[in-house]
Amino acid sequence: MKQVNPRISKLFNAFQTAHRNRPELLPTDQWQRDVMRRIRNLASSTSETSLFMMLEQVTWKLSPVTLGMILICGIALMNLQIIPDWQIFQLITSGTEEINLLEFLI
Amino acid sequence: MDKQNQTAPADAEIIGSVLNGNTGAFETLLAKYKNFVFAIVNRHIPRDHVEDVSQDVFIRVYQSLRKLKKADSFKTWLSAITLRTCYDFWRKRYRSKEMPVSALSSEQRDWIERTISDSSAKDWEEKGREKEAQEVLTWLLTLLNPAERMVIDLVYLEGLSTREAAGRLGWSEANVKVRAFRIRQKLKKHLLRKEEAS
Repeated sequence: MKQVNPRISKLFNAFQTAHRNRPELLPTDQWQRDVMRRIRNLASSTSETSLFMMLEQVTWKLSPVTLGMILICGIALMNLQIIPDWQIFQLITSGTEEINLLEFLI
Repeated sequence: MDKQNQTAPADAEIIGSVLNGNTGAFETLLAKYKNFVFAIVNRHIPRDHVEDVSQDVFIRVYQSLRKLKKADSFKTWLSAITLRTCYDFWRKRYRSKEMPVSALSSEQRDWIERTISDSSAKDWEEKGREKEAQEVLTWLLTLLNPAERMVIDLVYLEGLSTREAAGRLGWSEANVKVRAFRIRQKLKKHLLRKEEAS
């Protein structure tokens, strides 16, 4: 209050008194029960959320491993040569208009 | 002091129990500190919102309990959370423009002039008990933004130093001083306007 205008200081003395004399307000038992009900709801939803978060963390941890596995499997499949080279050669050299998807099964 | 030392481990014990999943133990903390929280909230928030804001305080406390570093200083931490929740209440209202600024009535203007005119200290206190003091104060607070409102409450109405107020609000002392300066400018503009013009 040191630098306050003296007239404002007078007003603030009055305001301080009014502020101090504000009637007290006490919590009721019902209020306490309401708070605890919210806390319990929160606790149950938090445990569900934490399970979801745990699964999410596991997914993120495993995703690089999964990606690596897909790459390895892809490379392995390419090297297996399920379609023989001569068929691929034939496919490229023959007219594309004669090719249909069932040709390899005939 | 001894009493505080005796109660501190009890708080730590309860908090430990809550953190271990015993939600029911929180009720002990609630019962112990509800009056403390109500008293703080009642000083900063209109009466019809005190219950809701106090409820929000305890919800925040429950959600942030893991962040409490020293369980022994629970009461100080609780007090900071309570003030922060009050501040957020005003920020929310300020953003949603729920605070219409009305003009002062002629009775309220008369009260201001009677109060700032020369009179004894005893007179001020008597006048402070008048209904107008509370009404003018309420009007005055609607002119301030949420941060200024918290500063006026703590520094000018509760008589804390800028350092203490800064500590409670978690702001820098310079920030509180700047806001206190702006409050004085606004008060000068609004409360003494009529008199300075003459």
